[in-house]
Amino acid sequence: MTIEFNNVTPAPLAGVISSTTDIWQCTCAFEAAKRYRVVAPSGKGKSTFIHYIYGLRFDFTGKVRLNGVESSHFHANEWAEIRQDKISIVYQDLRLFLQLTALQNIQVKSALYPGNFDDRIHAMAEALQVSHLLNNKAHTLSYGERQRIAIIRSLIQPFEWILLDEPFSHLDLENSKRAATLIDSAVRERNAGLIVTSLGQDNQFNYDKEYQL
Amino acid sequence: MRALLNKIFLRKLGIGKFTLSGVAFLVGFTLVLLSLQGYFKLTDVISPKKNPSNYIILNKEVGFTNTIFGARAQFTPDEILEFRKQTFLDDFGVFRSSQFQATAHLGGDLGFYTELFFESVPTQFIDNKPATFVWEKGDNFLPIIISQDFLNLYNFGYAMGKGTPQLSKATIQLVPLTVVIEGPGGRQAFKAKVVGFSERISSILVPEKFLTWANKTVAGVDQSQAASRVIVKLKSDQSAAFDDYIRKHSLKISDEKQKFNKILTTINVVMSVLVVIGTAFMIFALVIVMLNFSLMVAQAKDEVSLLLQLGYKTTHLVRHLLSYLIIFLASAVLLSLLAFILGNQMLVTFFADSGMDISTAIHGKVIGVAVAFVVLSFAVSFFAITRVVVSVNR
Repeated sequence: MTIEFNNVTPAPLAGVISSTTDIWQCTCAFEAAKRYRVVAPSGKGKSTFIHYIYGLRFDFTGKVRLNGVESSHFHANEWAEIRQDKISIVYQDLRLFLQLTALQNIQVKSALYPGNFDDRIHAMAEALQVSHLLNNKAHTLSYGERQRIAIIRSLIQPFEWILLDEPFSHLDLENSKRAATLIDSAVRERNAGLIVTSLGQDNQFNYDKEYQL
Repeated sequence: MRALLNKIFLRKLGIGKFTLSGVAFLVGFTLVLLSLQGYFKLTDVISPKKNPSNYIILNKEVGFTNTIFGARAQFTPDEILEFRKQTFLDDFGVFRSSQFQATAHLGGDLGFYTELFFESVPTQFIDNKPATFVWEKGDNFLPIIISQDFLNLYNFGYAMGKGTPQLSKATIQLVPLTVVIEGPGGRQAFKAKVVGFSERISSILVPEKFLTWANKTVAGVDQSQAASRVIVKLKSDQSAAFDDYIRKHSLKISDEKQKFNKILTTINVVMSVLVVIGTAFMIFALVIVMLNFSLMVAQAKDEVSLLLQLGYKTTHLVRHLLSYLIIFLASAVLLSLLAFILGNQMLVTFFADSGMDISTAIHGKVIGVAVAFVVLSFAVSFFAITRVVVSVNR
């Protein structure tokens, strides 16, 4: 799946878009199975950019196209299918059900697919060193722990793209490396593409290209 | 997946609130059904539709001259002969009235005693005529049919005001009476019972054979061909011709029925109030169900939103939330029906105590209203749920 931005201007940023951007009010493409880093300081619309791709917001002028089809043309059920099979996401604000346990949060996602995911969930939890937390309620976890649960949740599903919105913001270097390794192997396994937004410090993946917002 | 969604939603929706609105629904629904059932059943008893309007009782207008000169307002034999020939009639019968003194005594020594009069009409005009309503010369048992209106008048007018017990049809039919008739031809006593209740004819009826015999032998009056009242059965599309005829001959349609009905108006008003209250309750219950579900789903908006972001389909979530609604409505409706059946039993007992025989059978219209109400509640809540889920998705 190719993702294209064509002369997109987000309504909240109209008039304050910097001249150095490669994405807003430009034409840019994200090619299938490539790895991209989108760098910008705070307030330049990193999350907005991710949400535009994922179909959560449409407050822009210009065109966002997924495989040549304008994103605003998809129906609710088509978005559900895209989110189930084509695009996975780790939100910057994680978006877990705080009253559910860590394991249940992952299962809410895996319940959408046939088969038993217990082994895979435990293997990934092992890799990220959160096995002992699986049966704790999400609201009792630290932000870094929640971040790792959200990463596991995003890796359960099939995808052609994975969108990571500042995925390591609350992880130390060791944990960041472990998470990056896990994500890297999942992306390889699926021959998928990857878009990471960051403030600029991270260099966990072998990026094919970098964009400035 | 169901279990997980239950975990997410049920805590948010709140069992307490569910129960509370369920109770409100239950009370409202049961009250609506009960008041409707009571209304329909009572209406059936009070204003039966079995009296087809093509049966009409007529008398001559009683005017000033009748009072002054003692001239009887009655049909002459010639008039009867002419009336009988009219083509707009299907059937024609005359009322015969007793020409002798008659008294009725209550069996035993209760001391109840009343003077009365009898009338007779050809049997084909009597509605609800029981098989026992026959008399042959020499019989000592006299069957009597009284007007249903008399019973209503007693039960709802007299007994309610005086605090005397109300009587059911079955009770009255058990009372043994002694009827004594007296005239120039002698005095005779008969055992008598009320065997039936007419909704069509407001009178005290005895078999025609008895009246002819008694008028002849006891009163010594040979049955005259004159009659004070006649009863006719009208052909279905002939009312214009009939109206024309009665105007020309200054005849009067007997409106006794309407007079009795005036007394029953009070009861109708009470029942109407009951239905208005019931309807208000129904609307309240409906609003409660609707608001309750909109509110519950609205409170779960964030959860719905996050599930949609994880790739859940709108239809899936609507179906899941709908399953709560179905369980909720089904249990509330089942409990309401149970309460309704119990209440209906009490209603029947209450009416029976008040002298009205009604069956426990649930009125068809009540079932109709119940079904319509459940469907409406469901539809309203369904739209509330769908609206919220779809609005979250945009």
